[in-house]
Amino acid sequence: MELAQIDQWAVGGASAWHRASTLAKILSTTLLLGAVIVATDWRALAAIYAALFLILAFARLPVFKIALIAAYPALFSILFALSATGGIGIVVLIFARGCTAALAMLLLITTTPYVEIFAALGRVLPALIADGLFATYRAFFILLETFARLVTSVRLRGGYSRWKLKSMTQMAEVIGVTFLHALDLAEQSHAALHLRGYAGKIPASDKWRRVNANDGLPVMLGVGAVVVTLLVR
Amino acid sequence: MSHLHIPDGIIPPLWLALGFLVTGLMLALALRNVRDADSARRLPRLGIVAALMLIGMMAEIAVIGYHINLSVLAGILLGPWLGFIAAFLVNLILALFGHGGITVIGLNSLIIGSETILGWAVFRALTRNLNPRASAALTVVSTLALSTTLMLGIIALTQTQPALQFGGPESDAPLFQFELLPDKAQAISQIDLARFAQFVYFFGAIGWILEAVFTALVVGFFARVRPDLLASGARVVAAKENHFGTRAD
Repeated sequence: MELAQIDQWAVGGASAWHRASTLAKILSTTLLLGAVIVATDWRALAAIYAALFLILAFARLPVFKIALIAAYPALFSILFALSATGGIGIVVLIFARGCTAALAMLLLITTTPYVEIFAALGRVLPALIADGLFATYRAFFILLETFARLVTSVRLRGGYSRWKLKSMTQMAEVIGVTFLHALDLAEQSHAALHLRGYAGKIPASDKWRRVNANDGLPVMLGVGAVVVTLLVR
Repeated sequence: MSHLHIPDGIIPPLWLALGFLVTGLMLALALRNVRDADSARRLPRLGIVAALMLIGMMAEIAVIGYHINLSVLAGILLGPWLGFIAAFLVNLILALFGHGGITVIGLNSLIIGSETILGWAVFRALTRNLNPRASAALTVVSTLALSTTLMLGIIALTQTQPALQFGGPESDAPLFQFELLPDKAQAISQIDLARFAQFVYFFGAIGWILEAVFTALVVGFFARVRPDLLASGARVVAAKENHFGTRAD
């Protein structure tokens, strides 16, 4: 899963879906998930999946790449599906539900900057957890960058060979160093936040709830998905 | 691996609601316990450890359908309460990115959170007699075995059966009817728990060993260069115990 790339798609896009308010898109995603949960017919799920696929294409996002990411949970559903008795229909339903729900979440996250989603979640979550979301997301990129740099330098010095046990120890040490370096950076950044008046809650803008003319699209999709699910039963 | 890679719409809503309720209570308890402890440093460390868990969970070993959780390492580095918060954050972010159902966040947080709490407690007990590396390895294997059993327990308890809770393809149950395993549904389709357990324990054991080796190596490195990081999780709790006037070791 490419978080950095997903972030870029969300911030860089300019489609009507990108421009819709975060509030409308969250409402739409909630309705879509509700529809997926109550769907008992694969045809309803296929229709919702196709609609999501088309919207991603109209939003000029790499649909196949995103569909591949949405299929990722299916990989982990294999054991679950293999253990399911009751025929191929149930197995198909497990995969269809997983992939459709994942695609609905990905439509939200690839068209909405994470800052706005976290700001919306911050309205219902305690301050430490809301700030923890920001801190985790930021730390993720710091860790990735530091880790990539360290691995490159280890390889350039001939210190890594895929099949040697010693390499595993070195990798663990690289991760240890990455962790310490990222921790230093995060603590510096946290100290800077305190200097700038941080008092236990990172202030977030209210842009996420500013409704606009583009909001009709996500709301229509959400309501449409629920209607289709109720009709195809 | 020891969390539920189950899409939305499979576990009955009552159990999902219970999962959220218990997770909410645990989070409230965690927030209460970390309020005074090491407050200036808790957020960056929480973020880094949660991000590390996130990276571990995203890198799957496809052949055995396993990914490392690093939840025990989180418990060791953060202590039980911040560790539980980290587990919740990671599950929330993963669900936002389509990895695991969003309605399963509560149950998953309980499973992963139990790993951080158990991991912290077992590691703390073992380091009294063993070196940090051996303690970490043993902690990971025992904790993951327990949490996998907890996951299987949840599946058994919820009597998970795809599609049928809301009326499956061959069921005529009304839309929002909730029943615990109606006979008809049971006959039609359910997860064969014994078969599922065989798969999970067999492939899971391979993953536990990999995660144990990895965690032991990382903990060994921290023990050499920053031993204070390993003790800090314990210190957070010790500070709170003192706050209430009880003994802390």
